[in-house]
Amino acid sequence: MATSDLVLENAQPQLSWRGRLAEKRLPWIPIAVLLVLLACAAFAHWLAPHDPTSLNVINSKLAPFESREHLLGTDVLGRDMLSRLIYGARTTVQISVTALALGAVIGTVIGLVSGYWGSWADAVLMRITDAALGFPTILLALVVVVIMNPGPPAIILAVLLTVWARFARMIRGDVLTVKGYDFVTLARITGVKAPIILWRHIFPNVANTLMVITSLMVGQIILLEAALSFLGLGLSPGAPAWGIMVAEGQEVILDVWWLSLFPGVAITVVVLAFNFFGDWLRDYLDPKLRRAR
Amino acid sequence: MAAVASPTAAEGVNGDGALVRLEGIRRHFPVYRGNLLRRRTGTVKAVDGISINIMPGQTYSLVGESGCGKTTTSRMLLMADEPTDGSIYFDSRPMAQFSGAERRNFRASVQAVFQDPWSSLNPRMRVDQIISEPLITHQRLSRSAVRSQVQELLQVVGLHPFHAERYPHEFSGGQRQRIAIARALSTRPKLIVLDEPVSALDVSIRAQILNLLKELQSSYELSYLLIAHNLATVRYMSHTVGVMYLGKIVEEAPPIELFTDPQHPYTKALISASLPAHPRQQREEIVLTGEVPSPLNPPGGCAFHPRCPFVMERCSTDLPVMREHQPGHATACHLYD
Repeated sequence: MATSDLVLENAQPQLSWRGRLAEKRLPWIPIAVLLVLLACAAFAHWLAPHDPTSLNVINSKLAPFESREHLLGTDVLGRDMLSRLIYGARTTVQISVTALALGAVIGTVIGLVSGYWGSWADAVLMRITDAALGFPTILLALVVVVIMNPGPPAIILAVLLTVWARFARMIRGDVLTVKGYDFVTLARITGVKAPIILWRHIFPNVANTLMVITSLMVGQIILLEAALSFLGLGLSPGAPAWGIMVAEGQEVILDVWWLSLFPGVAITVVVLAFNFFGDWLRDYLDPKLRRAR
Repeated sequence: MAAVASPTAAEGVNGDGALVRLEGIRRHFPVYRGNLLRRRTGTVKAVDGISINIMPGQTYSLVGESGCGKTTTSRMLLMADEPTDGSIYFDSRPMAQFSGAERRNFRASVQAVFQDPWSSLNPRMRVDQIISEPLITHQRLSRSAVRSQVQELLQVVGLHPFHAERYPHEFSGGQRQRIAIARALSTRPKLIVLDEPVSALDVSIRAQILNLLKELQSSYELSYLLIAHNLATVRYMSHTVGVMYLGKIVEEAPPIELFTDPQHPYTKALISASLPAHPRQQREEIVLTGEVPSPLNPPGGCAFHPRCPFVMERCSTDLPVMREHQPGHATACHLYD
């Protein structure tokens, strides 16, 4: 037996748990940011020094660090910025993350089904996707709000209705590529059932795309939520949400610059954290990149 | 559409004892034009009346240019496609009438190894997951039983048990093809379709893989349907060779017969186009002119007549039938009528 093309070395040496953790190269900073975000969302009522909606006109427009009571200052109506930021994290997690997660799941399932089965299922699903992509988001949100009442569920639904289609379209394209690989044909020849082929062969190979779209969408959704709220279609004005805070602050940005700056920075940092985390996750899920280091 | 009843059926060769019998198989693909108002504008006759027998423990090879229908034929045998006409018998049972259980059984007893070992192994699965996939699909086995089977299969194809926990990208082309072979062997199949199993590999690795396949054939009583265009590979591996041209078999013979005494002009041209083993070897040279006609609009009569150096008047009108001129050597050509 010719063994010239065999690699004669033994399997990976066993590492301690610390070694294994180090080998994973976890992105600590993005993880920390996301943990802070989650903590703020979960424990806003304990972490926030003030009620984010209580007015205090005497102390309005306090600059950051001007008063010890209000570390990041106050807005035009004297509401504490820090508290509003912390409660804003809760809104972001509730609305953006929920809508994104639901959209990703629904869009991925539709993309997988559409791409894998093809024929009429593909035609029907993709025309629906086209319709969803072609429909103006704001108009769609208006309709949703008219049917439901303004509030978090309405925004989640409105965002969801536009987001799923992007996932579905991108995932379907990837599925079409992966479907053409021989390992899928071989699995079919072997008699592997379609749901198992989708789960074991197709999905892991389109997960990259899923990660990329998700991390790109986080920012867009936070901004979309802001836009909807700004138009009065989402959260009530004055509600502690980053998008609303940026929108409110822009009217007086030359006078009280911190109103837009802090929530803007929060959005940027969170979006970046999601992007870096998504990048790491994509590399981690790819066996080629995981062991090559 | 010329609907001539299976003209390539080799006379005198009966399908007794054959593991697989293809009888007058056709696969025609409709061609449409336009998007909204689709009109059928023609038919591609990818496979047009093929009859072959694959005997247990033997290798049947299909050779021919690209696009002559070799792969389409194998896809129908693998139940990845259905013939437009004709029937395939597996163990003397027509595949079109398989019950659910028979179908599952068939899926376990027929496996395939494809040309490109980079596309045929899922990059996201470990080697043990790849190899055990057919096993898990067809048998209820404990985790440890699967493990030991995978280890055994890896050794059978010349890899090491510790390779089980690696990912495909960690292997070379030859090793990947060994993994693909181990996967195909896992359910102890009766037939393996080898679609160009070595043409993507380095020349130095080819012989290793071919020898491995030969060893496996004798130790497991395997039948192979080998698809290749490298004639040396075919000569080394086969018990019977079928030469295909435009969806039809034009000559069928054991390899030694075929290479020493080719009868059909297309076979002669094919052999003279391949490099001789010795540079000073004297051979009959046939250089073909023109190109393979489109299967969308094949020439009438013998499909080869526009390129044939020995073309006669009747070639453009009469379809030649497969005739056995010597035992086991059949040709479809008017030169031998």
